[in-house]
Amino acid sequence: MKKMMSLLLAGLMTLSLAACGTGSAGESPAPSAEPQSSAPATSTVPTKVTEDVEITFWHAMSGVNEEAIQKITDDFMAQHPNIKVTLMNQGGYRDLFDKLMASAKADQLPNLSQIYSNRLSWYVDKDLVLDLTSYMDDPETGLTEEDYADIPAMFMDDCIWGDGQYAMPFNKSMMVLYYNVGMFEEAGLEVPTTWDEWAAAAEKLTKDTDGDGEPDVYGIVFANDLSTDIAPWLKQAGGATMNEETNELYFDTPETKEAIEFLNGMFQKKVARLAGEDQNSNVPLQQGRAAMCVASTSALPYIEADTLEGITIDAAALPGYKTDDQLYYGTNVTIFDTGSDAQKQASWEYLRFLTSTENTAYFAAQTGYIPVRMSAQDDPVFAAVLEEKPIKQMCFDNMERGFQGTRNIGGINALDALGDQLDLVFSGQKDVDTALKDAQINGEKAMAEAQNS
Amino acid sequence: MSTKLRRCLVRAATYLILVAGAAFILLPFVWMILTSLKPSAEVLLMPPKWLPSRIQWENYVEAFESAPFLRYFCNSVIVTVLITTGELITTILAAFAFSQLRFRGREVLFLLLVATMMVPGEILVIPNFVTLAKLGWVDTYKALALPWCASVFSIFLLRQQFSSIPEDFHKAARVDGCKDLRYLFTVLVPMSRPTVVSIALLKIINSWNSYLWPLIATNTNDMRTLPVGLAFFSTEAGVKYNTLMAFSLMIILPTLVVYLFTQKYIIRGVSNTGLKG
Amino acid sequence: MGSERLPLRVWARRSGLKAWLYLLPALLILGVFQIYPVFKSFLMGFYTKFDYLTDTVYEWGLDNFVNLLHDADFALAIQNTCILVVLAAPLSIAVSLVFAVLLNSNIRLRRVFQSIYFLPFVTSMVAVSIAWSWMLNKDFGLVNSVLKLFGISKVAWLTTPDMTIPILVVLAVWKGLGYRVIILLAGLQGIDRRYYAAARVDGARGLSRFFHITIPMLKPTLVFLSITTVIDVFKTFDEVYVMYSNDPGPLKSGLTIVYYIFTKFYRHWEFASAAAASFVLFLMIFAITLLQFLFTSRSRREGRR
Repeated sequence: MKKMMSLLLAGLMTLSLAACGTGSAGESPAPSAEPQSSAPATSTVPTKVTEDVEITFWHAMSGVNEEAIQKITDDFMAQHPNIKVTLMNQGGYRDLFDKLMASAKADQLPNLSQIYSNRLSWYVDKDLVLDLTSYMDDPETGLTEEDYADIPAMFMDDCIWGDGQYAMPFNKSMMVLYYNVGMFEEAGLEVPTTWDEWAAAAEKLTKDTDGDGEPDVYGIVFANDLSTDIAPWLKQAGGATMNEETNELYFDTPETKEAIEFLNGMFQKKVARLAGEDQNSNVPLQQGRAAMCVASTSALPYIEADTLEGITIDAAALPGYKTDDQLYYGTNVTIFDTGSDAQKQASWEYLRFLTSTENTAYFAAQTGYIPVRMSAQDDPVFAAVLEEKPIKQMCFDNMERGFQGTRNIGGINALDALGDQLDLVFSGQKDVDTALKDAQINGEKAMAEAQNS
Repeated sequence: MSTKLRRCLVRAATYLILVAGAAFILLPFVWMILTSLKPSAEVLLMPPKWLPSRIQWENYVEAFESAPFLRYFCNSVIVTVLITTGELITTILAAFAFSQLRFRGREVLFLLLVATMMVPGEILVIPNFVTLAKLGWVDTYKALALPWCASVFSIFLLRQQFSSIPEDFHKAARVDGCKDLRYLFTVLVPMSRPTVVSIALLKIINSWNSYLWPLIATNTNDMRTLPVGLAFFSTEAGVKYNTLMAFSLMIILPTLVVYLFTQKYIIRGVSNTGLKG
Repeated sequence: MGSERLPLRVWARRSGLKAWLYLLPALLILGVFQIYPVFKSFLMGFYTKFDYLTDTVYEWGLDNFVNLLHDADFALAIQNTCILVVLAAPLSIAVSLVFAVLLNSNIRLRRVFQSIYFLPFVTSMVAVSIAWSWMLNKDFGLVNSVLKLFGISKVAWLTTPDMTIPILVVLAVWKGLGYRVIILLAGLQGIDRRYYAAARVDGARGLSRFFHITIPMLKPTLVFLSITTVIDVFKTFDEVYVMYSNDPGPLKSGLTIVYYIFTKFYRHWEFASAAAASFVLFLMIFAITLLQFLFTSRSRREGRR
């Protein structure tokens, strides 16, 4: 069964890829649910790589994620016998970024790597990254107008610095509000869509059954590194974390203050907490110790696998306030400016393949991530997944309102400075005004220091 | 009578302390072993279940299959042997010079070496990688082993041991026309056996468990060592604790065996000395 | 030493060369992989405007050190680390010494006990720290349920800032017990049993034998252990990193100097600040080690007289 499925998949993929590459129309040769036109199965994918080349792709994906990449890569090599792609799992993201740093210093960067754009900005600044523009414009192996229209602008913008494009979006997920369906029904509550409803729901759902003053069920649990992803609440209050052009920080603004006071209100009422000892915010939700949590859709496979019996978990977009902005995150794949021209061309062709409709759909179907192309919704494999998992459909439906985090060099440092202050606020040791003032000062200092190297 | 009672009490106290210490040490391990046998739904349960509802040996199979275990295992063995041998040679020679030979700047040089121990290893990783890259050694056994083939810690330890051996031995040997090198390996080293074995053992354990360096210094699966496999159980959204623990326990096992084998060399039995009271 | 210099000059010169030959292999490796990178990173502490990748320096200065002085986090890191060292280093050595001496006596199951004590040392700190954080969980951890038996109410071990240092102290004792016991045992085995036999003839009791024979004879080992243990504790990092899941403890109560350096270097990419902080750490440990050396060598000389 599994084998048949993968055969079918492989077949579909070759077909539609060919279609994508040549853009020619024809009769569909196989009885498939493919809505788009297909080219004859014999046609080859255009490539400009004539000699044998080897390229390396560093990633931080393990388990099913790694298997999915491996499968896509094997398909690519089957179609491009002269290109050999070596996949290298470099451990977790932190390990990968450490290793990239060491390699940059030793002039040993790989051809391709997964990387967050707030890390990539430093490499772009150092001229270590290949500008993909000319490859993307290539009439034969580039992207078409349809491709550009197909990839959500927020994902594409995340890869663009100035006039150049330095990466392609790869594994993306959305920050969502997971909730315990049973608890909401019992309390007769609707899923909150505004801050006010949210705070009210959190209050109503918090329970202290043994009466020791410490809630046994918290209304809402946030991730421990709340500050890194604080952007959606600042945006929803009409503000922002920082200015990407001028490096100006907006920590000490009325908008930020409003957002922090809203969150802090829930903390001080003891209806919200950080994950703390539970490490991931979804863990207490899965075990019935929380009614809601804010987490990434990439946690979905874990929630599906390890939720306590009798608990049903669903997810909704984050409740809005003045605006309804939704945070999307995840890495891109970049090509470093290293190796021969043939390697660069091969890397680009591989990257294009990796992010084609069929492959991004396959990757998203196998993992907790979402596809980086709108057309993936029509992909037969992924359409079935969407049917089964409405949460993934929700990710698509909210893309219009989506944004990705800022990418300033030193931005992480500034946000950490904010995070230190937020910890003090949430634990009741500092008032919001002083904390935000200090965050602004410390953040500016941290950012300036990060930019002197 | 009273001395007998006293002795009895001392004895009882001794065992009490030893058993309490053992319990304190063992608890986390019992927990690790139990976790490694649990189905994943029971791992993070709050309140925790001590005993798994059913023993899931599959975790070990899964842990074994999640990485090219045998290849990694062989690499770990090769690298550990290389490092330990290399370190023993450099350490014995250097400790001899520092404890038995006189030369200008001996104390200063020694202090300089001890001083390098004070720098956190984390910041040496990148410069060392750059050095090896310049030599073109990335992804070789040389890169995995060479940086660790000398250790100030061991030189220091062995120097302390050598200097506790009276210098008269050395003088006598010199009078007998015994060359330094022969004196070192036929007299000093055997006399310091417990320390030398300890050094080897500590090094074996260290290199066996090292994680960051093998990850940085290698680029292919063919060259990676066992602890690198630990990374495969964590993702950004969660950690598979049961298989992680199973894998960790499989990594511990060989070092434990080596330890059990060597501990008799560290302690000569009381009976051997023939001087038991 | 002064009195020996003249007649031994020729010999000293010869053995000087020989000594360097003996040292060569170790120095070669240490020079390339320890001394050189340490030196380079110290230099970087003085870069104020530079390109990290190409090692091009545009400006030198003391700014990084000045920044450190004004950084509340760095002060906190120094404070935490010093408290930790003062508590953990003597305690670890004392506890290890007790166990080593007990193990060195004629007891049953010695090997079994010894192997058990050694376990933490052969285990990866990652797995062990995870196990510890479960045991310390406020609501469901083992430690609190044991305390409950004695009528002590729940302690939020991992989320109360004041608990962090005590936990790290216990962890340091626990983690290093096995290896310190091994080193001490090796030292104890080096003591000639005839001393004990003679003492027994003189009628010396257990405790007095311990203080008059064991401790003085064990001195080289103890000096070694006190220096390396202080250095080790100064460099505490892994335990914090894993136990508090990549966080320096509640409200930074577990922020050690190495944690500070690590964050600056690997998370914030503030390489020069990290280098400057390592330099300060180095100076601190160096000063303490120098004191330890001076103290022990003076008492050794006095002992001889």
